[in-house]
Amino acid sequence: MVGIHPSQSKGLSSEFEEHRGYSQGDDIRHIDWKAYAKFDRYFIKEYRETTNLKAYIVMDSSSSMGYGSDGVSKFDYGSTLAASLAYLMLKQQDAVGLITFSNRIEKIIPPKATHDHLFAILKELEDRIPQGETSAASVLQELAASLKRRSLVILISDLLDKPEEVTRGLKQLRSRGSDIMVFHILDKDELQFPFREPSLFQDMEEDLRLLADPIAIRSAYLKAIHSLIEGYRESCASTLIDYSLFDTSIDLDRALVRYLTWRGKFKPL
Amino acid sequence: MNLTFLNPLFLFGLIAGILPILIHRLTQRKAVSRKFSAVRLLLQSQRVTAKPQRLKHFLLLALRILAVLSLVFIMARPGLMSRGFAALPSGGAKVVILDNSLSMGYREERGERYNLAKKAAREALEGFEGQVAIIPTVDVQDRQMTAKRVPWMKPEEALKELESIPLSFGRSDTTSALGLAYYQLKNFKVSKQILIPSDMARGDWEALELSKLGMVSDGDVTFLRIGGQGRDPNFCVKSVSLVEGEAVLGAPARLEVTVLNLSEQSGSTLIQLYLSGTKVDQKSLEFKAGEERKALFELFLEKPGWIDGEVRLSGDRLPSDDLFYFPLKVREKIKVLIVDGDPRTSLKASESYYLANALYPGSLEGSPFMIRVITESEISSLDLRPYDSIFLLNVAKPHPSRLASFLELGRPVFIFLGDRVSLEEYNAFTLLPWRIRESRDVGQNPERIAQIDPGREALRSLSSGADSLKSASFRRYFKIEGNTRSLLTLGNGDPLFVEADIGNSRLFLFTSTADLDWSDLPLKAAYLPLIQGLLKEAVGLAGTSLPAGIRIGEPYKEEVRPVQIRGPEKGPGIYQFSLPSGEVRRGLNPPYEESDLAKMGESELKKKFGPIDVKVIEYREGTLRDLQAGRKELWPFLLAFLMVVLAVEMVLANGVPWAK
Repeated sequence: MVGIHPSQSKGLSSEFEEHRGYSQGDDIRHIDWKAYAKFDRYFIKEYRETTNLKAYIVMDSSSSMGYGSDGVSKFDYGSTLAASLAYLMLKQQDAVGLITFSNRIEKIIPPKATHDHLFAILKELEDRIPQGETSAASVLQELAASLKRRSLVILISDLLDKPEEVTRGLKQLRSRGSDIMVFHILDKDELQFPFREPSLFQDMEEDLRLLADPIAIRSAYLKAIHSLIEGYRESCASTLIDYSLFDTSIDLDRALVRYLTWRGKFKPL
Repeated sequence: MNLTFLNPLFLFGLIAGILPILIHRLTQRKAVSRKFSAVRLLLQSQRVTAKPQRLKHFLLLALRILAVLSLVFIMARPGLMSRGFAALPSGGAKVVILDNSLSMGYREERGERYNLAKKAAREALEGFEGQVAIIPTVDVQDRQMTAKRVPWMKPEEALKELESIPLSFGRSDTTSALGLAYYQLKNFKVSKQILIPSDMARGDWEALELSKLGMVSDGDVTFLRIGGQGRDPNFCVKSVSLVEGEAVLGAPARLEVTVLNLSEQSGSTLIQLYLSGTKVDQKSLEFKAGEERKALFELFLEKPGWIDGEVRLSGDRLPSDDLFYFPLKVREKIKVLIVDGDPRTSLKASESYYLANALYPGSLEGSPFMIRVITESEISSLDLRPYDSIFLLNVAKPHPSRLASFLELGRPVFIFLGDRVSLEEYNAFTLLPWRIRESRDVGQNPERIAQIDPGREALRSLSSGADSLKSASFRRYFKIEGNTRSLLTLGNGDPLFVEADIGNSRLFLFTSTADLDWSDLPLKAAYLPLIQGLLKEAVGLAGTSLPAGIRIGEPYKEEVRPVQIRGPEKGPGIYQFSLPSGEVRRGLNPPYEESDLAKMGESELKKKFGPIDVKVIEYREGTLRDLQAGRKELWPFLLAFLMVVLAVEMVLANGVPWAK
């Protein structure tokens, strides 16, 4: 079965792409003799190889993903997004796998292109309860080391981790030739910080507490979260990684359509 | 300099300073425990904001406490007490020059300015323990306040003295008052001060000449200005006069009252005329700013003798100059005896017809003359003493003995010649200073008057109607010789009308006839004023029945002591002088300068004082007490401070409104 995605490697295939000048070491079987007869110069015919896509959906299942202000947690939102993407890709006969992680890889479902495989992914997403600390950086490094061939890696996380390390992990993965999409999921509370009463804030992953007047620290917090988002956006842009921020208060379908439209302009899945 | 409080009890309110702390503690809300996914980010934010926030809270608390304390201080009315302009050590000396001139009688909303001036003086002396001298500005010399006579007093005695000085009706003698003050302070080595509560009216202070004093004290001069700097509106009577000579019994008289609007604005006033205490007429006049207008009153006086007149104005706030006194002497009618030397059965043909009509035109009741016409034969048996003047018209004999005794009474005689005159008889009359020569008949070339004596008031008034007089033609007249004063002279140089002094009396000779026999003069328009004018002048009726008025402060020449018969005691009014020649009355009125309420400017005044330190303080009731003690109110500064504190608190607590 041949997929609909063009391979990034050029070689023998039925689909001609371009001519290039002959250089020493090239296989003489690929010389275009008709062109030689016409121009009296050697040209090598190149073809685009079409392959099946192998995609990994890397889903953050740490405790922080369990935060949700309107009854829908970031994990729920991310799971729905992951399931939707898996469904779309399997429809395109691409192989899709799922990796859930916290500070380590919790579970790996290897990529397959069968219809039954969707249920395995859905079951894992449904059964997974967000818990543990986040360490996306280490997981990305581990994933980069284990991937044998170029793949599409879709990272779904709140990225409330050390941003330098996460960025390093993404770059490492990108250096292996993998196509990376980052879906940054944040709650409305995290983006707007609407609290007004003096509060004792307890962290969901670490043993961190803070007694503070939200009104007093709101501006500084908003500055910090926007700085974090902008940092991710810039570092992703510099390494050609697709970055999208999803607010869980915005309906998923709208977010997904918006993303797919944007994605389609550059690289069809 | 000490900090004092007017309402020290309010300082207990400082306890309220703890209110912001209590409110802060009571309203501190209990923290809500909540799980959050990005506490690490919150911690970073807290590190950034914690210190400024703590500082902000402390600042807010401090500002609120400051606001409460400021409010309490404002209510306690704090002030800094220092030695003020009027504060002197207990050994000091003060001279209070009290402006008691008439203009100080101006009544403003707060009361009479003179009372305010006294109040200012009382406030200035409050708490003072040194020596005080009081000098009023009016009648400084009259009161004989020489340096020896102005006593130094304790403040409480000075206050009593202050109360005893009445408001005068006169004008300030500021130079004398200041001279006296400087003289008083000359030998003092202690702190000294001259305080002058005054309206600083230009009429009083413009005449100040310090160069006349020849001495300058090192004490400072402080004016307590009463009544502001602007020119206050005021009306005053400038003069009262009779338009035509004297007031004569039974004859109409016209009284002219000149009123001035001494103001920068237009206005109206009611002018009321009182005679012997009874209101006889009134007129209301509208005035433009600074305008002078005349009001005419027609009088018909039915009783001879002195009448005490008053003109009263209304509509201004200076009542002292609203009453103008004038005495008016009403004379009896002038009794004139006309001796007709050529009476006829027809009145018109009689010698006296035209003259009688000139003196008593149309039998007018209003004529000041009462005439009687007799024949020559009656004169020898008639008592001439009741008559004020005699006219001999074409009388054959001059009746020397009768005329001589009449002239001795100081009464004038007019002689008109004619064809019945006996020259021998007249020339034999030794009292006559001239000789009558033959008559001259100029027939078809009548002579006309060529020269009119300009030195005579009665004739001067005819100069405008000289054409009428000069148009008269004289066909016949007597030539005369002798030392005479010619009032009217013919074109050929012959005298027509001559005059001679006979003792206290005067004798007039008209060289032609009184009727139309020899001339047409009686038909001329100038005939009536000529005859009446000369007669009035001769009997002393040409002057005025209003004796010259005196303004307070002006010297008067009468040597006898006058008796005041009208007006406030020792003030303006009508004064009676009993002179050997008879009773005379004169009106005494306030000085005109006091009615003009224009003020001296501070810079102008300082220029007059030269190097002497002069302060001018606008007096407001009660404020002087503070100034005296040198009390400086702090509440305005505290109020401003409170406003600033509240503004900063608002910005700190809520941010800058427009930034939102």
